[in-house]
Amino acid sequence: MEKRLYFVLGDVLANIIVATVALAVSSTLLGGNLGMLPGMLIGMFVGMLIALILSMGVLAPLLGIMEIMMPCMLGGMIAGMLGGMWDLSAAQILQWGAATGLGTLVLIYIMNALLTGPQQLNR
Amino acid sequence: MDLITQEKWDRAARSFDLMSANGPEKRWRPAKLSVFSRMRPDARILFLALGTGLDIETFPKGCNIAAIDISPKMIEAARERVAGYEGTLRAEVMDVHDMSFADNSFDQVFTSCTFCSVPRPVEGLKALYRVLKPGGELHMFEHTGSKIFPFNVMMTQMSRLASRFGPELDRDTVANVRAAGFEVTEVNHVFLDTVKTIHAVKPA
Ligand SMILES: C[S@@+](CC[C@H](N)C(=O)[O-])C[C@H]1O[C@@H](n2cnc3c(N)ncnc32)[C@H](O)[C@@H]1O
Repeated sequence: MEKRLYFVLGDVLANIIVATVALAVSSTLLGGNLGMLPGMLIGMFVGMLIALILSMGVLAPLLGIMEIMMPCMLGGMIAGMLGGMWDLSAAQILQWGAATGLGTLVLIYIMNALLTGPQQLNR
Repeated sequence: MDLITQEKWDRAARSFDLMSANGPEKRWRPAKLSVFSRMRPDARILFLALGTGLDIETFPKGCNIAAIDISPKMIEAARERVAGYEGTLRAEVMDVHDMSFADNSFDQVFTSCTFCSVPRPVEGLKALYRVLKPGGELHMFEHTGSKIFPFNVMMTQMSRLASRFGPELDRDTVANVRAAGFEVTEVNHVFLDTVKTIHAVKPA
């Protein structure tokens, strides 16, 4: 599990920023106008696209490729889905963006703790 | 020589350090150190692929290493790092599919973020098998595809885009190593199941 302060703080900031921006864009563009299911699906793609641009363009060179791409894409996808379904106020975007970014990061850290290390070989 | 792959990586060489020298390299340094610490000073070592030489800082001193890369621009960018290595390190432009080394000529082969990039991975691994002595060791630091939903879907989709400029993100490198004839002895996950170290031997 990542313990270096630079990377832990970087992960927290990166995931909050990506989820908040994805939520803001999809809520502003779609914000419940399309109905639940189409809003969710299109929002998901909008969120993933934003996560891809931010993580590959800005964040990965500073913080690592896979370690940024995987949680940010997942957070962006979830935030985009939420924004596609609901028209949110600025305060709600900040709160939900931070919660989504942090939540996905915690999930990835837990999964990572479970998955890393030596593997059983099925020869 | 595969000129399409060579051109792709020559283009990537321009921005490679900007993209990889800071965050990615520092993130992976502990795992790379643990893999490359297995380099033995008494062994004849093949290293694939050199890139701009970012891995060199994690090599133990005093080893005898032949490093190859398909891209002359990458090798050019690595020149200073190669010169700074305290040991024997020769860098050559060579395609892994078409290596000029004799059969059974290396004791150890090391790879770093390579088999996401080599266009025909099983054939490339078979070429490594050919140049490795019986009983010789293959040590790899690689990123691979995931077997976990939704990461597997994400990696497959992103691979379509990423493979135009650089690596493929959805390969099953452990299966490829086995398919090339190696006996896999150790697999360690470094990040989720997408970054791993793989250790294998060519049966004696
Ligand atoms: C992602 S880079 C990794 C470079 C370096 N090991 C590192 O981690 O910084 C992949 C490298 O594989 C090289 N490569 C791709 N196909 C190759 C081939 N067929 N033969 C030799 N090298 C190849 C590319 O030129 C590129 O430098």
